[in-house]
Amino acid sequence: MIKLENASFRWKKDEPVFLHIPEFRVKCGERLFIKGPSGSGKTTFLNLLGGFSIPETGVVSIMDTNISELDSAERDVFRANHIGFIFQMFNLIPYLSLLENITLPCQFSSKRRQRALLQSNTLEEEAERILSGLELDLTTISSLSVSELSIGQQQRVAAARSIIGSPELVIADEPTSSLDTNVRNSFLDLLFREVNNTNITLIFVSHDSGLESAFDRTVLLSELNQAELQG
Amino acid sequence: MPIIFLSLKSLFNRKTTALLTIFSIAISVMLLLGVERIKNQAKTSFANTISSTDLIVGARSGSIQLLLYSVFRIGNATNNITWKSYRDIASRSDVSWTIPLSLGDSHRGYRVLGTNEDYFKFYHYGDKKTLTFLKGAPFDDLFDVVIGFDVAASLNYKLGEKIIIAHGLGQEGFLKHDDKPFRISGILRKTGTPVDRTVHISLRAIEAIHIDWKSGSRIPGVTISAKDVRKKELRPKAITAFLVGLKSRLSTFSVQRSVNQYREEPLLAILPGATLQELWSLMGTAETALSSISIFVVVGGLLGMLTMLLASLNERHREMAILRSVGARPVHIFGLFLFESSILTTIGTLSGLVLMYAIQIIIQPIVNDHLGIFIPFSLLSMREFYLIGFIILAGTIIGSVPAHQAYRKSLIDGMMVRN
Repeated sequence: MIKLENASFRWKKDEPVFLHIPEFRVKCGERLFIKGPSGSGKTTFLNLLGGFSIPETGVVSIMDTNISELDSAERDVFRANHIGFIFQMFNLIPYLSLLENITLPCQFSSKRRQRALLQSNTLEEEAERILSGLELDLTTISSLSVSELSIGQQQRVAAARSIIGSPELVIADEPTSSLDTNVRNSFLDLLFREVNNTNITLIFVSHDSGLESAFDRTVLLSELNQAELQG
Repeated sequence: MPIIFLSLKSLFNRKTTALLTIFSIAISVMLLLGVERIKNQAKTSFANTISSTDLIVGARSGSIQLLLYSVFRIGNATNNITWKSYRDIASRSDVSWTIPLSLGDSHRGYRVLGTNEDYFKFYHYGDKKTLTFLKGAPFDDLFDVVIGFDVAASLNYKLGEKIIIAHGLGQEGFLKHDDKPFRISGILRKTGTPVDRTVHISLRAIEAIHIDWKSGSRIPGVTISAKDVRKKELRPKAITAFLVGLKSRLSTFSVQRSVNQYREEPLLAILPGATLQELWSLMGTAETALSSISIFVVVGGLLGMLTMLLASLNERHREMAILRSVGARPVHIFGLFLFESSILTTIGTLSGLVLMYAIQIIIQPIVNDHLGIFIPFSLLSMREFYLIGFIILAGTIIGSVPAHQAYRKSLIDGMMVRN
């Protein structure tokens, strides 16, 4: 699914190499836990995986596509079609409704729109279907604006947005760090269930070791990144 | 398509600032278009004040001064012309008609003009239009008066009513020719020229009311009643100026030269069109200043929009990261901002246009009464059309500044969310 080989990255030409990853592989359908404290190059790593940045040397390949060979427009299209994202907090666009937020990826990717419409008659129906899978009842929250939702609810809406139209890969950047323990556990359970149902590969970044056990595999970002050793 | 939808939604979310921005653009556009209209209309109605007259002759002074008092009833003549000089020139073979003008008295703030029946025959304004009567007819009796449209309208005068003429140009309660009241014999139709604000009497009547006056006051012990004055021979000794129509336009310059070289007394003949031009160019500076100010107001309005968009850029950092993560490309982000600025300027400009028409409804009668400028309702002129297009274009171009910043940020930051 994902293959990084000798990928190195630096922000500016005259700076030392910031990130160097000799090898990193993720299998299809795998649920991977990446543990990394802030400042360990987490955002840079995710920017590489998401195709926002390209490595100076080496290969970043997702679904057998070497995205470092694509131009930026092609990478944008690739990302829109194949990758869903969940952030730590404030995932939602305040001026859009709940359903508009969830269906947003289908506005930018016709592929995800088509796949969503294979499941349901309309995008809104599909959003509702996913929401109910995440145990959010639309009838009780549909009248609320997205900023009126609880943080737990907001994160579930964000999760629904990341998986609508079945992208092959979901990248979650500390999605549970602003949730309390109970909400966190139920969020993870529901996310896993949806990811398993659709065979989505999940990359979950967190500094919270308590979550590790639920995942197939754990990778330490500090072990992955050999930048200092090489420099 | 999703970008247009997002732009509208996002603007609606910030509706207070968006409305204020639209409002400030609307006000500035209204001002600009309004000033343009008033300017153009002032120029047109100015040029339309007098037509078909080949020469204006008065005592020697400045040409603009002569034009001002003879046509616009502004200011005073430094000197009069004798009746003999007037007759000399009027009887030349190349002169087709003349209109004598005698100024100096007033009625409740309106100038009184002494003239003769030829005024109603030969005076032309606008596109060679002659004066026409709304009611009544030219003066027939010695104490008949014909009033302009505005005089009748603002003083609410009816045909047949008696009015008193004041000596000189002073206001109410000054010296009045109250022993010799006049009867309104005619009311002229609206012309949009100073004629509307003029009270017309015959030259003989001017003589009649001044027969027992000398040097601006009554001669003590001499009173000649309105009845007795009719028996007197009322021949004017002097007039203020006169308008000349020539048989052939080709002789204009030769007549002008011979008037200017008239031996009996110093006279001045001017070409009304040329002097109107000269007078208008004097106001050119004010005109340019007014236009510049209104252009700067528009620039200010657009800069206000730029400030608002740039200020929102930081707040919207997360929004841009989210949009990028759901598949929006940097060009989409660019489009989002650009579309917002073009919506703001377009709505602002169109509201400004509506506002201008609305204000025009309100101020049209006021401007007409006070300045004598009639601003007709008209569709957009080509120039106004270009102006509006230019403002919308300028607003969109200005909008590309924050759009480009947002574009660059979203390109560099990727999914990094700064708080």
